Amino acid sequence: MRHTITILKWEMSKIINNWQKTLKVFLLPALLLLAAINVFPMLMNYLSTGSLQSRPVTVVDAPDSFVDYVDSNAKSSFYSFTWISEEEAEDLDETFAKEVTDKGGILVIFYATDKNTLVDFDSCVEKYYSRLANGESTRRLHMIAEIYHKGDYNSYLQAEQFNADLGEGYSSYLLEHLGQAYLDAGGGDRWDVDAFNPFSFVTDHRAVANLGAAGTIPSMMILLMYYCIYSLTAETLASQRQSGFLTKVYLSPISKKALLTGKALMVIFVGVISAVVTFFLLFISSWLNRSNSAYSLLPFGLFLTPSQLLAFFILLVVAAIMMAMLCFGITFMVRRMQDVIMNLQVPLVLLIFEFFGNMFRPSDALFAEYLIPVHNSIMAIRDIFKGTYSWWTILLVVFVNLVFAGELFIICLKSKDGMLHIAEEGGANDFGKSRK
Amino acid sequence: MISVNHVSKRYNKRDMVVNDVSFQVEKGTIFGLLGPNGAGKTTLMQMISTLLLPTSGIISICGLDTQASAQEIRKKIGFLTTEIKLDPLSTPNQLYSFFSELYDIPKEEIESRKQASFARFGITPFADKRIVELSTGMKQKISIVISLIHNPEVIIFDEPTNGLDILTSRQVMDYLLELRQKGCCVLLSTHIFSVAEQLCDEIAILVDGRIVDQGSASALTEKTGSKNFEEAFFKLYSEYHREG
Repeated sequence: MRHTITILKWEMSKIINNWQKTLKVFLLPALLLLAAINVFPMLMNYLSTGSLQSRPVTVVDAPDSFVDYVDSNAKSSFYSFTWISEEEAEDLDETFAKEVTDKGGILVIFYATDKNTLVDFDSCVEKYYSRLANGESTRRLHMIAEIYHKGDYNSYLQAEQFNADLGEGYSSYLLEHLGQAYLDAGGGDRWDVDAFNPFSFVTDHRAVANLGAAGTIPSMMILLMYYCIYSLTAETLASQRQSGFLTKVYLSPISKKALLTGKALMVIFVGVISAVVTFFLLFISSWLNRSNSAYSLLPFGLFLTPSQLLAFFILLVVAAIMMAMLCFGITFMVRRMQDVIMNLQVPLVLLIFEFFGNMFRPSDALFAEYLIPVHNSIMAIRDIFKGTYSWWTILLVVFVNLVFAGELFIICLKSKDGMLHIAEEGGANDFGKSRK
Repeated sequence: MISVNHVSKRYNKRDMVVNDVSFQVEKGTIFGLLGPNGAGKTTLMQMISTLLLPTSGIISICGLDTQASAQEIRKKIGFLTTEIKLDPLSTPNQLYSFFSELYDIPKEEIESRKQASFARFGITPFADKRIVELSTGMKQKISIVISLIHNPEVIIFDEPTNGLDILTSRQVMDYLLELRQKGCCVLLSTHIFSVAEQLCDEIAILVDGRIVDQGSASALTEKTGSKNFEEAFFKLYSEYHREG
């Protein structure tokens, strides 16, 4: 135990003393992925509009209330508005709508009718609320804002986003500013959420955010953690073995078990810390996602309950143990440094495929998937984010991973020369080259 | 203290690298293994230092079998080889503290022992520099200090003066003589005649994994009727190949 702690302290001090490596292992991958996540909506915006600027919206015959609303709403800064008056609109030909939408823009047209006659939009709204307050019929009053888009999926998402950002809030704005008569008569929106209650604010966004995050965060976290564990294993085991330093340590009166455990603990500890740092960055990124673009991989309002966080943390630790033992096993089975690196990269490639697969996977995991080490952690974390997890599944995942990790640890312990710079089957410092 | 009995080593199904080698090294003596490259010196030393298992034969150190009591033997030996490199990003100070803890050296002794060892080899001014920034000679001196951190009874040095300048070589050789004086048992391999002649009480000439002859430098010179030890070595080497 004492020797295990000595090895752990030594390995940790090497990480701390080498700030460049620490930066590389902890922050760089997380920051790069974070940047990629934030670039993704911009890229999609560019692909659909041909511009990296804010999304273009052309508004025809906008009522004064909508202009005031746009001026007072922070979310309007995500759009660049072109205002076309009723007079200007009369000069436009039939191809105008096509031109606007073909460029990826959104076209919004306002109009209101009273007994099938076009009337002023705001006056019509006032009349509507006044009649509601007096208990009169509003059947012949129509106030319509039509939103046009190109028709493809990307444009549809843009239009939906515009509606969510400004359309829904505008109806509440109309009630507050033009529906005074109705409000005075005791009317109001019975389903209105108390915006001053932080809890309702969080829960309002949580369902969408967590569901969105379930597609990206689980595989991303495991992918980044594997990258960290793989780099550390290559450094602490394969590289030290090749230089012979591991042999030097092994020649001291330390047991193989203590030496391996100390190194494994360092790799697992740093791997988990790196995952926690990554999650923290992703959490912050979600809450800073003010635009909450329809393409966002991390929607606004990501939030886990304490029990979800606990289950998530347990799964991270178990996945780290499993991945560390997988990397140790590979390093012990293969001798040449370049072979070790190549073999350690195979799971990395598989995890990248898994990342893209999960991003668009709508179905739940099959039971058999919970029996596949590492993959089962991704599936279980995904369940946590979707809110469909059960503690039995988590226990199963923990059990499966620990059994596999234990087996790999025993294989490493039984290896005759896995830690030495020389091999029993031959070769001094030449690692696998045939000996003459 | 070191007993090697009919030891052979074969890598997979290839030729014998070490073939039926036997010798004893007593306390307070320096035993040299002299031979050309590929003679099996390093493999033999790796087997003695518990890193490799012999294909056949028995090696014992201080009465302990290297296969059965490897961990116990490692407390008693100090092994140095140029194949084993120190961690390039660590400093001599960090390495000394780390290995002191591994060898369970009492905390109150670590500092005084470190200062004495570092002063002995002139490491003190470089104690906080990274290994990668140091010269080959300085790295070798630090390797020696680290290898002998636990004051071992048995010292196994593979080519200790390899790549060193004459001043550093002399310093290392003087130190080995000092260790013999203290009663340590030293086994060293070399292909430098002057080193073997000056240091070793007994020398085994190793060619193609076999001991061709064994004795003190003067005895081998006399036995072969040579003018000096170098000539004696070549005579023994040619004789072995004529017979082979």
